[in-house]
Amino acid sequence: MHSLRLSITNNHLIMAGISILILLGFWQSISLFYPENLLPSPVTISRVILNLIFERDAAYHIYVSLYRIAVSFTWSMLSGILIGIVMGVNKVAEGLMRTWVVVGLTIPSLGWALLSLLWFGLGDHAAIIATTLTVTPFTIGNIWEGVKSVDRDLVEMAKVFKIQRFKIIYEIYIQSLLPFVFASSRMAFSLAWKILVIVEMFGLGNGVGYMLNYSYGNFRIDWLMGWLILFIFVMLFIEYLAFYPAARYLFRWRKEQIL
Amino acid sequence: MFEVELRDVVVSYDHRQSKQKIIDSVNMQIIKGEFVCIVGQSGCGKTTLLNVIAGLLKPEAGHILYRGQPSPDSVKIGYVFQFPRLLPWRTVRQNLQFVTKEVNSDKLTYVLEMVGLRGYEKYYPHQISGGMQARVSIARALIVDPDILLMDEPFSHLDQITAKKLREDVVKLWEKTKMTVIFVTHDLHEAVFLADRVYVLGGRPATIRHIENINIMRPREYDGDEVFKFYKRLSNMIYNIQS
Repeated sequence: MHSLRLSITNNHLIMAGISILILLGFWQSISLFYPENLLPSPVTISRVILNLIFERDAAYHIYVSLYRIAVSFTWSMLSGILIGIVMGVNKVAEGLMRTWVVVGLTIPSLGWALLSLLWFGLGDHAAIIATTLTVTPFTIGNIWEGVKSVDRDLVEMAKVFKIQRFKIIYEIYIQSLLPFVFASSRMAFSLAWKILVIVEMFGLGNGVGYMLNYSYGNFRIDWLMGWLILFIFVMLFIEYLAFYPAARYLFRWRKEQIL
Repeated sequence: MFEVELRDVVVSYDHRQSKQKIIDSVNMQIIKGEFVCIVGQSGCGKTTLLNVIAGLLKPEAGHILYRGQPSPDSVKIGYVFQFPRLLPWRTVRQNLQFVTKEVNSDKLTYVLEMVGLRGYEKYYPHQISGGMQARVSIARALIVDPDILLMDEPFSHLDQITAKKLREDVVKLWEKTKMTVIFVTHDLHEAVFLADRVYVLGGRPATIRHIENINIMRPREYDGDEVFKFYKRLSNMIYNIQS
């Protein structure tokens, strides 16, 4: 009995499933007390989601948004890793850039969204640029921390054993940085989506953000919730299909698995 | 010719634009195959001295000669640190491979056998005990076939029983390989058990206060009367020198 309970609580997927079921039950019971157009029940929402998929081109809008997220994600990761490493290694670069990282962290995503739309027009470019500019300071900060956290004792050990420079870089620096790259990529990905919907809402004619705004304009709470849930599913899917297995593989040497 | 020779070695650190002397005119003459211990209080400069011998730090003045040559590259040096300093993302086997250029499977197996780690090749450092991590760190030093093995209080953070076992194993390894060992410790009892000769380091800046030859037959018994008597005499003497 005890071991059965343990094996269930240790299984991430089963636990996630149970908590979703609890939430659905809770939601269903509350929705009984409110009118359908204010708080639609889970049953209604699932019907709406099917409708969105088959009648309202959900796949197209999700594809458009995911494409923008993927491009901004790639740019912010690349520039974050590059600038973060330079800042971590070089004191002059650190001194010059540190203020700008903090400034970047404080600029609201809405500011970048509006500026980009005015500068680059109502299109993909504006969406990608605004998202990249908002996410990058976070990835820089993360990697910068990571470079500073490299264990000097390990580097010293390698020097005593006269290890070649490229081997030290690969076996010590890159390996120590990996957890930071991973953590910031996960954060960048979810952050990019939150910012992108704002840009899409203000200035674009497609994408999930646009559809959220469209639903809002038509006072359709059921559509709004449907789009949100649909996109959450897509993000969960990516998490479990890409990030989770990658983390399990990359950090198999760790005592505790990070999730 | 000496395996390692230190002539009037002075070490300083830069401390707020002024130089602070850590070690002052240290002379040591170590013969090939000797087991030498350097003892002293915590923070007196023992590790610094060992790092100078390893070639990690350049002395301010004086010379270090390895078989008469000034470059530490003329001998092979293995280093066992106070903490194991293993790559946490690499297995025991990969940690050993990290320090060797050519990987010979027989050699790996032989070294792991020597330190009693056969069968743990595929374990990650966090999966084995502190004592075993210390063994990996010793194996890593041995796999480079060192002429000189430097050890920096490698057992000070281990429990007494594990430490005692490892000390005995180190003596056996040394007798088998006949390499030169320079072992730093603050534990005088340990030093008396291990060494042919003990250098006592002390003062600020640190100098060599005393040199003692440990004339006890091997094999020695860690808790034996002979080691204990020697330890007691040396301990009293050092206490008198320091105060």
